[in-house]
Amino acid sequence: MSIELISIHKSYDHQIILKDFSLTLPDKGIVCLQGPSGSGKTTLLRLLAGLDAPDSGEIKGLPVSKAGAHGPKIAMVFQEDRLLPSFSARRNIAIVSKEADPDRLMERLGILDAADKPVHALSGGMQRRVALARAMAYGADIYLLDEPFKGLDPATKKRVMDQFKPLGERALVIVVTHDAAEANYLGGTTIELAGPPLHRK
Amino acid sequence: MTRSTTSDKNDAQLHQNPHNGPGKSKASPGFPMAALGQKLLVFAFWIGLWAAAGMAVGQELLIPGPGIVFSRLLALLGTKPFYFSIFASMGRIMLGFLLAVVAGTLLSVLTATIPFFKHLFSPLIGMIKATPVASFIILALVWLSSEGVVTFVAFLMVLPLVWGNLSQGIRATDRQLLEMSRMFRFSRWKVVRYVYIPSVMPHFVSAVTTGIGFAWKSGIAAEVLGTPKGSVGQALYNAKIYLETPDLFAWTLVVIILSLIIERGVLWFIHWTAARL
Repeated sequence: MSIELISIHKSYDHQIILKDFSLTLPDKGIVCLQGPSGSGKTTLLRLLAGLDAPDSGEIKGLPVSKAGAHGPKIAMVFQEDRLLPSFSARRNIAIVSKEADPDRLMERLGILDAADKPVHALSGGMQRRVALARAMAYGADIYLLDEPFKGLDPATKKRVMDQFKPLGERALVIVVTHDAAEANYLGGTTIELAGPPLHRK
Repeated sequence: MTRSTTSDKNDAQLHQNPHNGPGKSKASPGFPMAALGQKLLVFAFWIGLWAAAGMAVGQELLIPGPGIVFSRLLALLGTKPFYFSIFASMGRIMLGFLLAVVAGTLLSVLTATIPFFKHLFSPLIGMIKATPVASFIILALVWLSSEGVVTFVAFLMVLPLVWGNLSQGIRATDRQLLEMSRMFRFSRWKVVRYVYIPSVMPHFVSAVTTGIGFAWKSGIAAEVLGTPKGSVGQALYNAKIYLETPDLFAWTLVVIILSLIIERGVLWFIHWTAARL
């Protein structure tokens, strides 16, 4: 069942972020969300994730404001890495799934060497990749990725993006990005968000 | 003329950082002997000051010198009642301390999860915090046996501390991590084990290390006022009324040393448990 957003209004602190916003998302594939800062990209992800509820409007195909409830499994990569700081990279990845193979994922993203170090001791780029590996390990139907490749050098970025592209064959992958080149490389559909008040171009 | 080898050894000991190269900070002893040497010098200084004060005052009643205090201490170490008192006092105080840690932990979880209990207990704990130890001791002596008072007072001193620190630790837990754990459908146990406990741990350790000092000091004070039979506090009290100042000093040293040992012991126990989790 595809996901539909109908006439969504959302504001924070009297600031209108989304106004009469409607969107239909495909069952699977890659969708890139682009737009300037403050255009509501993160807000959109949070509404889809169920972490926030819209002020008005409908969301079909997902439980509204019930993050973690039954329904499609959603893997999220936040702008902040949100890793468990005192645990190792391996543990952070293994904790979301019993079936996943953390070592294989870490190897594919180039972080296997740091597997057993506590994540707070890793560089920003490595922490990012741990967060990405964790999302991959979860076995989700929907991926919500908020600027996932930020902080990675060009070579690493390409390697990581190559790992994520195939996910679009079986799942819906929504990627928020500032970078047009990234969006181009990933392919799929691009949705551009203009500054407030918001509507689809 | 050649120098004797012994004076060379002394030079090596007193020389603060013999193995430091250029660019290394002077503050770090590059050699374990140097650190030990420094500690011995500090110790010798204060003992020397004590001896000088004793001699200057000239009255054993007021300031006994280190010599006589240590000889009294050695004498005490040879008697059975000495060890009985120590274990009895430690037992009573540690019981109060442990009960407070358990109660404080449970209470902090309760007040953090159910606002009603927070409103109910906050004023009570505030009052306990504000009341002076002596008031508790004297009141409790009316209700309880002198042994019970010790445990009770140690308990009351540590409870607000543990509750306060843990409550703060729970409140300070990173909301972003909690959101993440919701998204990845962590079970309740996983959230507690992987998000809350690591966040609260430093607050817990801080509460316990401070609390052990509170418990010990207030417990001894309770023993001095209540004089339960066979306790460190009673020994302090007796030394006072029989005007045996050297004993008073000796027992006070015992209290200090025990306090240090217990503090180290508790810290070690915490780290040992944490490594096992």
